[in-house]
Amino acid sequence: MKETQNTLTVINKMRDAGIFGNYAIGGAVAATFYIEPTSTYDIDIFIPFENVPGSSLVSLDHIYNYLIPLGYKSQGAHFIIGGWQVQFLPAEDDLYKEALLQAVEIQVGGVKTWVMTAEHLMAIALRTGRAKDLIRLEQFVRYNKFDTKKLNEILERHSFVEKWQQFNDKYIRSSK
Amino acid sequence: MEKILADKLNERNRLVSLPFEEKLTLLEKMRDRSLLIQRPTVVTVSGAAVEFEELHAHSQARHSVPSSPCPRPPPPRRG
Repeated sequence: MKETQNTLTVINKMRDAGIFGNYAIGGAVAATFYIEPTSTYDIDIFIPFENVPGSSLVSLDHIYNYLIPLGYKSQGAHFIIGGWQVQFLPAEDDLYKEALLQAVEIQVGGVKTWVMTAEHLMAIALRTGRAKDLIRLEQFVRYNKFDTKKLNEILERHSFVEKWQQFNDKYIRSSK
Repeated sequence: MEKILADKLNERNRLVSLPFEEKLTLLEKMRDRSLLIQRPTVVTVSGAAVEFEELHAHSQARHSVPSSPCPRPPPPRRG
């Protein structure tokens, strides 16, 4: 856990330095907060979306310019921080923005950090829909690690009700 | 078989109920193991199995024509 603590400490320093605003951990590491651990190479850090004027791309220059002079290495889309490959992802649509805003504050060995709620992770997994996302989704259901009312509200707000019903029909009801 | 499945289920339930800090330690171990497997391994080929010149020729062909598949060298003749 020491490595993760070190990683989060650096990310918190970046936040304090104004490199980005609030952040939230998403993906497999965030899901592990609620369900069983699954192997992953990286930590997904969602940060507020800031559009570069005149471009549809998100600039990671400020992150690069902060980390590289401090000796951190970049590898493809990742930065190597404290033993983890860290990917900074923009919370670029309404679902991610909401997930970022409503992230839960937790402590990891005394280091403060934020993880997305179980319900937002489920909605994101449902939308992304890769095999590993569906497995994750099934685990949330199996271990009953979510608030049905909250999830339904999110699914309705972001128009995923039909998709959720399809998922339930295919993977949940059929296995009972 | 039922006992095996029940044990697996118990183990999964145990993992779910672990504190996040302990789960993170497991994640770090799983990540390290995966990265270890993913690293390119050194392939050693015995001289008896593949003639050096043939291997060299294939290597040259691979470098000169990147899009063409490199055929496997024929198996050594016996007898």
